[in-house]
Amino acid sequence: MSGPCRGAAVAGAAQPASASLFIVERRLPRVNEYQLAVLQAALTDAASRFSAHGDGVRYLRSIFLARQERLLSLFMAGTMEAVRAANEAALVPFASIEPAIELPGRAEP
Amino acid sequence: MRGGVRGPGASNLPAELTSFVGRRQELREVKHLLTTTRLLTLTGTGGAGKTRLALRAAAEMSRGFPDGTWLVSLASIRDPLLVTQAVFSALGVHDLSGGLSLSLLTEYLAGKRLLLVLDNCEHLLDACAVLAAALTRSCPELHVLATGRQAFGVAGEVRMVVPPMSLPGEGDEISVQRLLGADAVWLLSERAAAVVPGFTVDAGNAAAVLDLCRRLDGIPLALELAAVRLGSLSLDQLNQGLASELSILGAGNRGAESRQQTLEATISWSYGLLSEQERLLWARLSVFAAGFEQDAVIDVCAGPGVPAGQIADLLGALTEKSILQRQLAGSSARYWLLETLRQYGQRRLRELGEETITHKRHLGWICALAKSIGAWDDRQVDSFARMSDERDNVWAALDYCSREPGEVAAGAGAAHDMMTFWACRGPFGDVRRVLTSLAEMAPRRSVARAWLLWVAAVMAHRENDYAACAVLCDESRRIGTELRDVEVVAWSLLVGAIPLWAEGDLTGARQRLESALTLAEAMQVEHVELDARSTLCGVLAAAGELDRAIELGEQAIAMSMSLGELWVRGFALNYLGQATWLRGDRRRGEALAREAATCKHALDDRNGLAIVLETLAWMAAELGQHERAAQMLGAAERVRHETSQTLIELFRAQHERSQSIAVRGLGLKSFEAAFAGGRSMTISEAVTLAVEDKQRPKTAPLAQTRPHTGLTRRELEIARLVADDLTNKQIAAQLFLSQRTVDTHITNILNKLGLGSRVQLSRWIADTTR
Repeated sequence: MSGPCRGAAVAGAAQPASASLFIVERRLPRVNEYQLAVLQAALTDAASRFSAHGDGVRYLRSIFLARQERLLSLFMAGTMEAVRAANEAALVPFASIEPAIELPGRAEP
Repeated sequence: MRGGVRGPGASNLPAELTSFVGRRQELREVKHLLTTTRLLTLTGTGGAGKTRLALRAAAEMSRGFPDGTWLVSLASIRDPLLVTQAVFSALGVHDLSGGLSLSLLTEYLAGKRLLLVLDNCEHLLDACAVLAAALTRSCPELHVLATGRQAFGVAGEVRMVVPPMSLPGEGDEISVQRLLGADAVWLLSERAAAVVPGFTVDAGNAAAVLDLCRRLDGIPLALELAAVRLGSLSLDQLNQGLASELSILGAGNRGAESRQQTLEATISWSYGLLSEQERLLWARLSVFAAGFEQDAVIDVCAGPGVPAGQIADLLGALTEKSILQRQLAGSSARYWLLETLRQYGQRRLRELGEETITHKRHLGWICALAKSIGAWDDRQVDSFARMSDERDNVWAALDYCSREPGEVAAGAGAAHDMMTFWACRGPFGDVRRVLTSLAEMAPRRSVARAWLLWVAAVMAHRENDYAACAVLCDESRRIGTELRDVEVVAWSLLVGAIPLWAEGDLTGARQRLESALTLAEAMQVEHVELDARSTLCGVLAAAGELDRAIELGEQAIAMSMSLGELWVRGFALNYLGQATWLRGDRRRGEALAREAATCKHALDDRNGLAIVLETLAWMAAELGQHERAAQMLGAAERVRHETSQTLIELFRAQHERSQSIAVRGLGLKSFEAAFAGGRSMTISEAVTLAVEDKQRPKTAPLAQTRPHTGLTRRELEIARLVADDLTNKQIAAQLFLSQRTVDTHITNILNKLGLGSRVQLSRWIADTTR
């Protein structure tokens, strides 16, 4: 297995040299597919805007844990504050933002 | 729904306080662009008249939007996560959830043909852009007209720059006729005539007028501020004063930056002409968000330099000088500062070194308002109504607490007092988020933290998030136990019983509630005792211990009546009704539940009302009144839908039982038709259905005796009470309304009927019902 990797795991993205990964957690009780789609679009829009401002926020993806009703969204950014601002602009409250470390799996042959 | 999207003609656009002058070309352009794009942004410098232009265009285009034209004022909002709440609030929709508000909003607006005016977006540009993009993407019939310093930069947006008002060209030969053709001159002339009756532009003053308009770059706000001064200064004096104020700007190009400087210099000049007291008051008023009434100004702004006894005169003077805007609602007036002038006031307040003390006093005023809610007395209806008007000021005060760690305890005190209000009105998710964030700033072992977590737990319960509710209560109780604070422990035990009740652990819930009750009785914590008796009544009714449930319910109601409050009384009546019904006295049980609905409606407690409607649906189903049961279930669903609530899990079993009985009794098709009928009712209609006693002989329906007047059912009811010679206070008490609400209704009634007095109204009632 490759070693822990901060940020640099996403190749080719225009990021500040010190970009790190962050996970934003939301609790979404009884959320439906439509609501998830609206949220996904809002996160994409907000991150794109921050990226365009030069704040270096990139929205990578989200994973929804249906049984726990939790949504985990992965961002890459220079600072936690930038991730917070982008998520606030997405208009959907969040429970926490935490720095994250990605452990990539073995590459497919 | 209070307000809300009500169909043709629906709107919350404010009445124009002064005449709309000029801007024909711009108005044409806005209206044309709105027919070709669904997202139009008006940009320009502060004071350029973007808002005024947007509102006029929206008003003129209202016929094209059958679901209404709605203004969302964003100037006072600092937290981007509150933007969707601001839209709901403007639409008159109670979104109690505050969680997935964006998707709830897009769902709510999806099929509506409506114009939304998002005003003052500059400080929340990213959030507004995300909102505008989401709305235009998901709501194909919706149009957005936004104002701000910048465009959003989203796909499909059209930007229109609002220029200054037109001026005659520099090299043109100037005639009076030609002058009056320029919007800037027209505006100056109109506003001057308001303070100097008979003022006109003529050959004698044409050069001075033109000089003044050019000096002010044709900026509408600058022209308004200058024109009102013509009451005390001549045109030449005005020109000289402004020339000296503006001379530092030089004579560079007339671009946006230069116009902004002109405006600021004009505001500065206008500020300089005020008395010392007026200047101080303007600066202090800038701490208010969205608006304020005179009593609030006395609490927050009176003091050194601004005597309380002169506040009324000073507010009048600032309004006359166009610094303040004023709107009358019933017998009270609400004032506000245009955003540009508010920002100027904030800068002055900082320079005066009064920023902290004035914010502290603003917070103190909110805490005092909260205290009247925390008293749980007969002011509850009035206090809730007032707090609803001051929502933006509450958020501003909490925002100040979040910036000043030393104020967290004050914020926690206000939160403690406002628990019942937020439990009724939400938005649960936003309140919980803000309070848990404040709790993180409070010392780990402090009563402030315990209170914040406890109110957050109540919000979590309302959101059906029982796991979080339990965790928050446990932490609050742990702190209370460490600090030996009985009230904290008792409240945490009480609210901590709810998740157990929801899981069906009636024994565990009962134990906690009994402990809370014992503690509250021993230490004479009256409000906990009241709520514990009521909630225990509900748990014991569910457990089948009906005698004790009835005893507790009756005690709770007696306590509530002695306090004068309605919030717990509504729940206690509901649970007592269930227990009484289950013991076999169905008639009394149903009557109690009907009374519960009246209590909840009086407080506009939508969350509580949905619960009571479910109880009445269950009773109707059990009585074999299947159609009424289905209607009541539909009405409860309507209340929940309009407030973005979900069915409280605690009552799911009861809901499913009622539904199953009604479907069996009616057949699925008829059930669905009756359910749809209930779901299409307004809140008032739902309450009327709920409180209707099926076992009483029917009187003629109100609709048949109502003359065709354009008055609503409530207005007609109030008009009849006026004719019966009741005072507004007596009417308010009789209808469980606030006196302010009655004042407003009576003003509306007189306006609708074109009458000038209560005596005329009494005669009108006598004539129409003769």
